Amino acid sequence: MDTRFFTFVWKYSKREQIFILALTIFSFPLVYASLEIPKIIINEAINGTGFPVEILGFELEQIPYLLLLCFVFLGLVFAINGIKWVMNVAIGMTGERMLRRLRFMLFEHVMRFRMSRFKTTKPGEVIQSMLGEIEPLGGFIGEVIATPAFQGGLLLVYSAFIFAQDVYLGLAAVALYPVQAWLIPKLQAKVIRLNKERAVNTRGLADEIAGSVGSIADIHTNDTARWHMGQIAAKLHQNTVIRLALFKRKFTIKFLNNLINQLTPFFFYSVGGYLVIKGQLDFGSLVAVLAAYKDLAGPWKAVLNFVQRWTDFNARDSFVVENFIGEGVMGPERVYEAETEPLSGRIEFSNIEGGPAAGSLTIPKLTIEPGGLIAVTGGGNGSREALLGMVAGLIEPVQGRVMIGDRPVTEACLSELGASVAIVTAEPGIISRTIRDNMLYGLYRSMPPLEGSDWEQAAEFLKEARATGNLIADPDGDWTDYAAAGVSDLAGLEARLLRLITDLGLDEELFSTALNSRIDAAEADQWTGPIVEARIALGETELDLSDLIEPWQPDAYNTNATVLENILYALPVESVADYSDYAQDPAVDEIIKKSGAKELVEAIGWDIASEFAELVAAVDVDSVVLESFAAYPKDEINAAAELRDRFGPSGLSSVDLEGLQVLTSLALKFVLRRDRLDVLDDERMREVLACRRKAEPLTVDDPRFVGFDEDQFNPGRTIADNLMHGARRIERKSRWKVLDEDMERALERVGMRDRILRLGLDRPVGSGGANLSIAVKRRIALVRALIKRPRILLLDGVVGGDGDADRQTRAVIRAELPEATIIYAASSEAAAEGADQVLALDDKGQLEAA
Amino acid sequence: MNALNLNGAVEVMQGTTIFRKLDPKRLRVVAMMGETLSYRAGERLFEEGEEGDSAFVILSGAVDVVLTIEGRDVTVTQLKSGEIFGEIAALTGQPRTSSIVASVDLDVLRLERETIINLMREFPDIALEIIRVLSDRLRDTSAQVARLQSEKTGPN
Repeated sequence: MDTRFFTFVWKYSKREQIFILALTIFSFPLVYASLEIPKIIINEAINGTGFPVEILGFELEQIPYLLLLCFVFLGLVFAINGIKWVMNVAIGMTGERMLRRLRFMLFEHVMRFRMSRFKTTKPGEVIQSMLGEIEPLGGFIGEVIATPAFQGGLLLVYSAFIFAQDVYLGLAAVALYPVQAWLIPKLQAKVIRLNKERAVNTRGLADEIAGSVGSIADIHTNDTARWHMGQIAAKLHQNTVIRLALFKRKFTIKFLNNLINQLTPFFFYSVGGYLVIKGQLDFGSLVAVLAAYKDLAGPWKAVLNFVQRWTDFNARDSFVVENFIGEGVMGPERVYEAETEPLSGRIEFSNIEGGPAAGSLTIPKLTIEPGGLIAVTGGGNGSREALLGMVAGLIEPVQGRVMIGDRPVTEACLSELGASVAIVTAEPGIISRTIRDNMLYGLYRSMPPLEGSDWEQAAEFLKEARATGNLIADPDGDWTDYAAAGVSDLAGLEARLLRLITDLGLDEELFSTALNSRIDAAEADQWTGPIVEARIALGETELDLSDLIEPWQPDAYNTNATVLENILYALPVESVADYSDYAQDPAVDEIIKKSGAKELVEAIGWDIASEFAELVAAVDVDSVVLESFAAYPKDEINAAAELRDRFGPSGLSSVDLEGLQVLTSLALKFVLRRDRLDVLDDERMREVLACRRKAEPLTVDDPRFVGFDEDQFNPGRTIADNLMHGARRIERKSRWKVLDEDMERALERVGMRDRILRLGLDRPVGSGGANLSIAVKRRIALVRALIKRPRILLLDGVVGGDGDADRQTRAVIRAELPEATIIYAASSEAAAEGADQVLALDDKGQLEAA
Repeated sequence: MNALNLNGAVEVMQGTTIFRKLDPKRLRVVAMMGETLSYRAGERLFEEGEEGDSAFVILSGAVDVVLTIEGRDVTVTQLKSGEIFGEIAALTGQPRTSSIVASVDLDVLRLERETIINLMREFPDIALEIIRVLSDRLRDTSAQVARLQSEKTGPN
């Protein structure tokens, strides 16, 4: 990658630059003509005599002649502006494409960095230099040739005109140019230094911000928010100081330029005036020179401005690019080489000195034969982690090297490493996609071709990628390397995935979350049959279901369900993100009104608000205690209490429309067993049932609802809710797991288990896996490692214990990878039992003689 | 009176040592912030050595406090309505010190660690009473240790 700005620009955009230049040159005669035509219009068409005139064999009278000239003028205006438009788009696009190319190149270089380079690479700084610092370059690149050519050309023409009038005047016009040419770069050099300083500081700022957000947990627990704010304030201050110095320099340059430009007329008046008085120059020429000089100022300013930007952007470009090149960047094959021979064979350590960052790991000589189960014990000072990391090529020793099958690990391309080695750590990296994506992540290595992709704009995507040297691959295509997983197609992969999930004990977790999630509404019909069957299967369980589920009965109030469910005895098919949303649903509102439940609901809501008002009165203002209430968030409790206090004296009848909406929302989601407030006595329950009888005929034929007794899958409810025909008993929460297991068995019997597991796989994991427990994250990482069938598997801080569970998992792993070398960090000497080879590290990182 | 009802829970809690100093309005707050759970006789609430993040107040019924000694379950004591258990693990984050089994059908109020801490912040009386319960437990345990030691060094 070249640090010289112009080399980069010329290499990748010469065609565009020449095109823009050609357009510029082409526009010159048109501009000239557009200045000339008005003169002809005034002098010949309006003030002229001697009509008719002959044009191309036609004889024209004055008015047609005028109109003809006017239309020519109009045509020129259109043509000039059309060319300008094409030119501006070309300039903009060239700049943008070059910017994209530069950014992509920089990112590619980051991917090619050796691991050791990342010790000094700060994420915040990389982002800042890749995005912010080079952004202004985009606007400049497109005009890097056109502007100096255009403005420089104008400058030459005008100067030549002045010189042609009088050599002395010409000299006067350019007399101060050498002064500017000498002085400005001197000042500009300081500006560039300051710009660089500011860029360094902004990078530091970006890194500080990234660091603060990243360590937010430590900030909270150490109360260091103010300290971090102080650090940011210091960087911001520094920015201001630099900017101030920059402003002074920049405006000094501007001041000097303006001054000098306006000084030149002084020479014209004095020298020119002297020559006119002495009769050596005619007056008309002096006026013409003055006019030409006025025109000269524009291009000269533009040229000066261009020179300033040129030096600034050259410095900026090399300052950014230098950050991404140099030592520690491997060749392009590091990322691009796709088909290579995987590393395999024995692992050899020779003369390893890890250095302090690797817990002083010292291994004079060590050979690990392929296919063994190797336990690493001790090395709690970081040397154990370093040993495993070195095999994976993640840590480079200060001295010596690690070879796999006679090839040094640190020199391998990523495709060789990825196909051969897998490492699972206690803190696995999780991408913000679905669980499935995270499990298959290790297989996302075959680039799906863009040619032949049929999605909208695929062709444009391909064209742009080609024009900017970006990766030619379909970003949303199928990146899966099926062969690496030892399967031939998607179905085979799914089967293998499900087996691994089950073997590693992830199925339960996936199943229960999927059970309590919703399916895509479009698939609801396919689920009806199986769910009805599963419901029957569930009924045949040995479990006393009535102890765990309160069933739906047409003439009984279900105390474990919401008021809304009790009134409707049905639920909308439209799924809602939050239960409160039902209160805004027009379909729900309609049924509640028609069934006569509206007043009852509002009365219940009013009583809930009253209870909340008492609750709020019993605790301090803004008490944290209120955050513990399960169904009603603190804000809602406070809002309800406020409402009650506002309308309290005059009672429910005085509540306004907005207030009634709040009350309805409070009431509809009320669950007697869960919320336990005294707002539903037997009398009110009877009233609810009376409303239910009126509501039922309304909902039964309404496609917006599915009744609880209907044999139809309701996509607005979870799979479990559809299956149960009742509500889980809240006070029996401790046994819900048993119930889930029973539901799992029932669904398995009707052949739905895999389908539900797949649904579980499609669950998004949140940013960095925020929705997952650490145990689940580690299991996902294990699946990720196993599915690509590595030749060497490294387990660092996972399944290294001597408990039954870990031993069992190790057995599963061995069965999955019968020929692989498995190296695991054993948590104790007992945990190393059963290994073919034990590598014992002492507290100083020395490998004890085995 | 149904203990699963808020008023029922309040009534039971008025008779407990920890909560007796709170007026009924505040007791209601405590009851609301917890969740009421039911267990059948013989069901186990948690096991010795497990991680635990909640404490329980017995609203009705009774539980056996069970220690596993040499692979055998030994009931060391029984707790009855109004008594609290599980508070050590809930407050310290240490593993459960014993197992708990419902000796008859049981209703409890479960309070999570965060809720307990919030409640102690809001109503310092609760904190004082919890300290008292813990000191009583410590005294009992010390006495038990002393007794066991004297048994060991005894007539053997």
